[in-house]
Amino acid sequence: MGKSLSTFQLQLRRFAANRLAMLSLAVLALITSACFAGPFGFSFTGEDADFNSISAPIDFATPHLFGTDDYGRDLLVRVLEGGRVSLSIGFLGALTAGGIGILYGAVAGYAGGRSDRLMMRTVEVLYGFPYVILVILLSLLFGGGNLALFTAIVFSLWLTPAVIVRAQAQSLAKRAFIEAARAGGMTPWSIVTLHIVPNCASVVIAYGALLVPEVILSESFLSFLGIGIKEPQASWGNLIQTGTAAMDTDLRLLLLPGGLLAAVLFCLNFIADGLRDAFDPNDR
Amino acid sequence: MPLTPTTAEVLSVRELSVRFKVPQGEVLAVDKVSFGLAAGEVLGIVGESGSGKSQILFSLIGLLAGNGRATGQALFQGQDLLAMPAAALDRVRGTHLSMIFQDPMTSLNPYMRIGDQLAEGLIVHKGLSRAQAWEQGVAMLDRVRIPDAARRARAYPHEFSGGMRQRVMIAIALLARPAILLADEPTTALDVTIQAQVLDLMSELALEIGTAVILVTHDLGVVARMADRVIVLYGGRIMEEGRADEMFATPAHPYTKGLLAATPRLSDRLEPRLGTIPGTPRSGGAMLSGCPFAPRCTVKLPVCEAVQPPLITQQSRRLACHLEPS
Repeated sequence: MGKSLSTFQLQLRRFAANRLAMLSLAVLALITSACFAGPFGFSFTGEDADFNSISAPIDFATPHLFGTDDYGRDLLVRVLEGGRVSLSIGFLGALTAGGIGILYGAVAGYAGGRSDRLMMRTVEVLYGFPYVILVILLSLLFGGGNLALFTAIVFSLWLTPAVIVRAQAQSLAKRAFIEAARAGGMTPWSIVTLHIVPNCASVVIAYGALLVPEVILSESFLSFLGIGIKEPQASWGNLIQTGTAAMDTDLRLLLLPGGLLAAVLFCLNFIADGLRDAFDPNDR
Repeated sequence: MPLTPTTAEVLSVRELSVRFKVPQGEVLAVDKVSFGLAAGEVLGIVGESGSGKSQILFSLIGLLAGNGRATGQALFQGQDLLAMPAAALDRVRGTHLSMIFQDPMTSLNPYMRIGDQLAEGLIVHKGLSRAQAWEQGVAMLDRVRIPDAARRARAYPHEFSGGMRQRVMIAIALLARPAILLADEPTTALDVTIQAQVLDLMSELALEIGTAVILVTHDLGVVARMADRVIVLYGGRIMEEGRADEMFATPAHPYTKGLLAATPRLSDRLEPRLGTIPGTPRSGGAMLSGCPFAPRCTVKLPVCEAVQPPLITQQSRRLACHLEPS
């Protein structure tokens, strides 16, 4: 017998065998590192206007590889910098929303009874809250900016993981090993963190991978509407919005950020599919 | 009253009743059961499914289902286990009081290494470091005869067989050297060939550590093999209690006699056929005014269905039956 593999490690192996998911992972890694490292390769930032070349076309001979926008700002650098914002908000937002949701759901599901009912009714009430209005209210509260956007996204997206994990925790709470942990004098908190949460991992990972594109999309959507990331700071959402305005004359302003966003979303969805296939016990 | 114990009692249960709220009303699963447990003693509780035997254990260790309620007293080191606040109970469970469950296949966390599951209790209750706790866990694993314990501690539950997992459960339960071990049909889910191994191991270690065991089972063979004293439970009440050897030699209660007659023995020729007890075991429902076994009893008197027979102590035995023991 070789090295002991946990269920989790076996699932990771199954995931690694999925070619499309692995390819997506590679593409995603490439785009991510380009967004974070790429802008350092240029002598100017995305907010520096080059008045000698306004609305320059694609020309690989000049320093502005993909040209500039109508303020003379380099398109490629702006798109990469926008990617930083969008990807950070996407991953951090999904992580935070997922983390809150998991803990909340695990506690509710394990506690059961009245506290469970109270906690889940709260979630249902929050579900009923109109998303865009919430974002606008929060931007007023925080005076706009990234923090307001982040809070709004987390606030609306932690609900679904909470519901999923709660259902899982509820069925786990009846399992013999949880009873054994209680008989062993484990405190409710250590049972939730050591036994319930790790056993929810499969479900959470599969869903969490879908949460990332959801967050990125909702950031782009809000920035597109003008209530998210504000100019001059770039994000894929507001770059696409600028792009659509010039769509009839110059498609490149739309295609570069839009294409990257689409590529990232595709990758994330393929990865999520792969994770679900590898982790979902109902699928075997 | 319970039998007078020869050594100090570690656990004294007085008039323990367990009730469950169900949509139809209330079900009395355990009805005013009293017994004592001497230090280091092995007490067997036998009964059919639904006799309330497992519920006695669950109430002692605070694991009754949400709709269950236990009344009475269970004194352990001067404290009533039934009235203890949750935090205090958490300190008793896993240190002085441990439990082994029926199904070893589901009693271990599938996502944790065996060694971590052993270490967990020591880290939480004794404040050991993970390394120290792990080391003690491995030593215990070795004592429950898991081959190559140090390496196997790094394995996950799905790599263990049922018998091995139950030995791991025994190791976890006895690691803190508890005063009392509650075993809820510990071998029911195992192959017959493994059952004896696991039981012998359990009693051997319990004896070594000085742990008293309450062994709940419906398997009379298991009780005969392990128990010093036996309680026969029916319909949530104690029918008969006595020393195991005595009770198997001369059962006094018609129910105990029926149970023994229904147990196959290698020495018998099963002639004309294995005995059975007529009727089906009662569980829940309305409490009868008389003896719970009366509807199935072949030697019942008119008084049996009307008046509940008191549990009467005679020398080393307790018996609840209107018939004079012959």
